[in-house]
Amino acid sequence: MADDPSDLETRIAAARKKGRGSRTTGKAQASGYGMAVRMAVEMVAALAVSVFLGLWIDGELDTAPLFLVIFLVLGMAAGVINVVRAAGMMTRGSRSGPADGEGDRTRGD
Amino acid sequence: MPQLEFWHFLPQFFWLAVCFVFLYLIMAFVALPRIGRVLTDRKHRIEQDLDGAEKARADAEQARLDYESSLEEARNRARTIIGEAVQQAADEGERQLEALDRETGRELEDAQRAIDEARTAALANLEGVAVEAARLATRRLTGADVSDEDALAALAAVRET
Amino acid sequence: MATDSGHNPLDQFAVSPVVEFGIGDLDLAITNSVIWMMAATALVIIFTTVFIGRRNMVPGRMQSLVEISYEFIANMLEDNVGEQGRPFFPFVFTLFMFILFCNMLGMLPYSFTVTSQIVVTFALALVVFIGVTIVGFVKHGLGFFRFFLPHGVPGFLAPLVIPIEILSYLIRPVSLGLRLFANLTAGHTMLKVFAGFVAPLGALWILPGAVPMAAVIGLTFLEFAIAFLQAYVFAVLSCIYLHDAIHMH
Repeated sequence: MADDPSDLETRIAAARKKGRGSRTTGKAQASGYGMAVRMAVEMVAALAVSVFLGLWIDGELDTAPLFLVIFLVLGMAAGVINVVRAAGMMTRGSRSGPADGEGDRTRGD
Repeated sequence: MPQLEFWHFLPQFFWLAVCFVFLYLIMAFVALPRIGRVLTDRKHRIEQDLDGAEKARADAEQARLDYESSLEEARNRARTIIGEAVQQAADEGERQLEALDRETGRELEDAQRAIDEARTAALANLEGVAVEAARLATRRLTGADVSDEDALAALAAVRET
Repeated sequence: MATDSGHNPLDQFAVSPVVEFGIGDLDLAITNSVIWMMAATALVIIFTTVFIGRRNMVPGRMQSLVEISYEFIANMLEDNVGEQGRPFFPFVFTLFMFILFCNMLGMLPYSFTVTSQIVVTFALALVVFIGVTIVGFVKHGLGFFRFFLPHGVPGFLAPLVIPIEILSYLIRPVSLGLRLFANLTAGHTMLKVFAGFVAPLGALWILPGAVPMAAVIGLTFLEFAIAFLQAYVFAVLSCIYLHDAIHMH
């Protein structure tokens, strides 16, 4: 009985825990630059979608600038909401928030 | 921006679809199941090894306990054996002492008896000697010859006085 | 953006046909972009099948890398979607590996960055968007429309909130595709611009040439990080969208 068997017991338990708890997913902090790029992409995307939809509906209904203006306003609102949600994700550091946004990453965009 | 030239949209899109679908099929039905199998195999193997280690540890622990209990048992047995031996020795001594006592008692009795016998024998002889002495003395003094019976009777009479 | 050395930093994104091919009137030429696409596909297949071939109990370096990739995506999916995300694991894995290998191949000198092509990134984003929307409707039927009216919004605001939510939903694929495209394009352009400074400034003297050289080296490291990160972000966002479609927030 050279080795202490109780020591072995703890070592076996440790090995078991190591086998189970291995996670490769880490979380990095978002950098300021990364956040800025992310927001820019989000806003540009919002703008692009709303301009496209506005022009398309205007073209279909022949209502010239009406829907373009409406969609621009709505699109900006949606863009801001997406940005806020993305920012919420970043600061909370979790996915649990609603609709949009992404995991917190350095230079996400 | 060369990316916005429209002519290459369709070919790129088409080949992207081909590549992606092909890659997906290979991943989904060949590569990933294999990797998954390797991983679960290894997980099972590690689990098994750990179980084995755990069992070996338990066995070792059991062996230690067995060893200790058998040691304890041996110690107890030794203790009782020693106790018994001591008891036996004591009993034996006592018995020998008793036997010795009996022996000496018997010898004492024998000796006593021998003494008694010797004494009675001596007393019996004394009577004869006294009768003889009385007879001889009477003859010398009186010149009369006294029979043994008379002498004995006279002796008895004397002794009673 | 033309530089003195005669190289336009955007030239690296130019697509040119290598093998002419077509079905009927459709031009389906194999371009340089397509060749790198195929290279990425082939490399992913080799990476995920060759090294895992022997079932050794103690994995070698390459096998470990494959296993780490597998578990990385599996954990990502489980963290973001949960148990119900399992069936989508091959898809997310394929998506991640394909984008990652395209990004990484783009880091090779004289190579072509497939993910700097707006068609490619938007096609991938659209696949995710359409797939996720289908999953939502299959899972919840028409109840998936409730997705566009978040909890706790008073009824009178609904006419305003619902269009905004729908718009925000429609923006997703655009921002998803745009993000990947913008990152890869911007990074590579910057790299080319600085690299373009090295030779002419270095011709003057060593020191002026060394400054952009150092910038190029630093940017190269940054670009490797971005190559990985953008593949990761794309996959994570796909997982988050999948989570929304399955769990409705």
